[in-house]
Amino acid sequence: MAVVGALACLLCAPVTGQEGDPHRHHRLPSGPPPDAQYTRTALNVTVPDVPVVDAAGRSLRLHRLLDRPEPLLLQFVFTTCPGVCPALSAMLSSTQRQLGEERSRVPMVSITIDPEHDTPERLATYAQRFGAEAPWLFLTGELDDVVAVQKAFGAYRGNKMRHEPLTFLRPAPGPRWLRYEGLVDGSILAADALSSEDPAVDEEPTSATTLRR
Amino acid sequence: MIPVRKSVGPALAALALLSIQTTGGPLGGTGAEPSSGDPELGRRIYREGRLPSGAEVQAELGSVRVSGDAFTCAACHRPSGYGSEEGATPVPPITGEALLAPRRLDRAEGFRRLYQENQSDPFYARVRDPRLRPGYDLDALDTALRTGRDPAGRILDPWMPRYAFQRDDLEHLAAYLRTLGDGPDPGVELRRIHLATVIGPGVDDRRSRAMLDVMDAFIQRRNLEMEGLRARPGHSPNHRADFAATWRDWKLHVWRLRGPPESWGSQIRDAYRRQPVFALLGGLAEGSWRPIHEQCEALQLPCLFPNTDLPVADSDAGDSTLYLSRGLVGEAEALARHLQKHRPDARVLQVHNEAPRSVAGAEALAHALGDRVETLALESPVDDRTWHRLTAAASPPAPSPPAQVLVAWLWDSGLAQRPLPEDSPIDTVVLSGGLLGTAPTRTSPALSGRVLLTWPFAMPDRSIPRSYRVRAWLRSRGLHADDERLQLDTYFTLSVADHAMRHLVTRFDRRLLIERIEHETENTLSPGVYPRLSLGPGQRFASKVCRVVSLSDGGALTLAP
Repeated sequence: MAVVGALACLLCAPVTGQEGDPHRHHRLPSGPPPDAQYTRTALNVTVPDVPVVDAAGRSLRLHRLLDRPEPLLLQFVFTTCPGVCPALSAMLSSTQRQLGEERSRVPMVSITIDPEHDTPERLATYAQRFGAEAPWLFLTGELDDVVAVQKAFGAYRGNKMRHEPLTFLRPAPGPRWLRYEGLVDGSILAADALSSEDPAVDEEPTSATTLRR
Repeated sequence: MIPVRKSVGPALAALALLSIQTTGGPLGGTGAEPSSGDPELGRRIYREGRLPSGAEVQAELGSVRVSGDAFTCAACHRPSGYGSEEGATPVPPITGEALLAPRRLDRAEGFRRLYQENQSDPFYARVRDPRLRPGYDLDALDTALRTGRDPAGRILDPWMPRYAFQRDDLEHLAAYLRTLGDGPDPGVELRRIHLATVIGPGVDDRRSRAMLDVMDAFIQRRNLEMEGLRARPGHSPNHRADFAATWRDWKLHVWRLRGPPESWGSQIRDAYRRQPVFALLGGLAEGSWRPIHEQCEALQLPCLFPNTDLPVADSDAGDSTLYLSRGLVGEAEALARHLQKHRPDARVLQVHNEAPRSVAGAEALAHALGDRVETLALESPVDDRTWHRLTAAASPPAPSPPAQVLVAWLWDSGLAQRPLPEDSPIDTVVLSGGLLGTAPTRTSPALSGRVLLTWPFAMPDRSIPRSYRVRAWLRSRGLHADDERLQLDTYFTLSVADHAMRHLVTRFDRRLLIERIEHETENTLSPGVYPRLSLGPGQRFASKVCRVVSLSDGGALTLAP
């Protein structure tokens, strides 16, 4: 456990101490460089086979939904999120515009991390705000199931207000996903999704567990 | 003399206003002419993302062009203007005071963010980077919004969209920003914060006593803590004295309402005029909370978690009242979803009495299910004769179809034991857990496995550690569990309010209080009445889950399939 914690900290911040160290912030850097818009890393994900409901109220299985041959983009958002989620959704909206006629080749999935509040109706309204076009699905479900999915992607932070600006791209079928943290240009996401070569990553592949903080 | 620091907000705002009126001032134009900004037009830009021309505000986020209400100033910096925290991103305050003045280091504020926020390490790293800068003037604000460069020449966070405002629009916006953070709001004195609770006419004395006893005990304990802190401000190695201005007693006023609900509004206004309060805590009233809700909205007075199951559930009900749950309406909505999913073809016969809570449940179910529902109003408690009438109503003469589901919005747990006639088409009886309070312990053999309950509470078999601690707290103060749910809910209300109030430090702004509660409720340990309590920006109901459960003989509850 201690090893995992220490490794997690190493991955999250360049300089840090033990997870439970109350003085660890003294050793943290004074903030990321201003030009650092995003990082791109890789991780292996085992997507849990949980039931989900889309914005049209259809019941689906997440594992089956993601088990498709195309490259796939995924984000965690919630509809009352003040700033980061609208920006994340605007990124995917921009990606769809960049993809143009290729849009149908890149399915997108936005999963709410506030499923008790975000009903299919609320998700449909949210999707409309961002001009979401098929194949872009907005999913909700039972809280425990959504937490399990976030944990599988190393994106669970307990309180939804602690969520981070993450976008995941699965370039090809399999467990390997790319993890973008930060503000990513839609043209980059579109290019990475359609690229026949694997985009360069900032770190070696890892599992979601080691990314937890 | 206790070193209590007075808020500088009003003084600075007044100084800024004076400066603008005479010379044009920092955020009010650069020439000799006074600012022509209209705060109301600025409010529309800030809150709604709409320009005076009626057009949507346009912005750029990275290379993405964005517009509309998703990227208003208020979304991130919040309606109060005091900013927020989102993931690893601290959103800075943009109140008039915060923008006009050079950014200064504030240990109390930094301490709050470093030690009282449950955040990620990158967030703490950002907090430790103070990003000092000179104060903004209108040109600097224009530059920051257009280019993302602050008065110190530093680049703003990439999550801050870039906006190109016309000069007039910028002046309107600046005029509105100057109105933000001009507190403290009414009810706050140098050493004391006035709070109130409301008790409506006809409330059972035992219930009002149960609530007030918890409030008195909590506030007495809290005030003792404040007294102790104020008595030793200089003994801390951790600059505890920096918090001295936050150590203020709570003074609770009990507003007892009389007469019909139509007169409650004027009674609340009169009481508020005599003694303004910063917020309303809890409260009890028979019938709808609407008269009190509307008054709180009119006064922009935070009304925190009243003990009602008749909240105002309209989608545009305002932003000053936070509820524990959607009450009877939430139960009816949960039942409607259950029936739509599992009994899409069943017809429903529902029965209610004249009590507002009973009527509210029936109206909400009828609204959700439409003409699948037949509604019967009872004028007396259910006895053998009315039960016979009820069950007969399920088999109306042809061509009216028979009803298979009987929903009773009644307090009578004995309904679960009443036998159905052998030829009755009713195969399911649904009772309201919110109205009954506790699950009936017995069901008639004929109804075995066919009694459902709408259950807004935590499942009884779920162990919530926090509830043991709060119960122990109540016992240690000699408070008997006369009405345990009410007492636990009241304790939750007080602890959330206390937690949020400490986060205000000296920013006694009611909008900020609501925003802190929205932000922190999910972190506050629930004492276990409801399955889970959480809020988010703009959310008004902390418990969102109501289950439909199956009742077995003996009172055990299981989730209905």
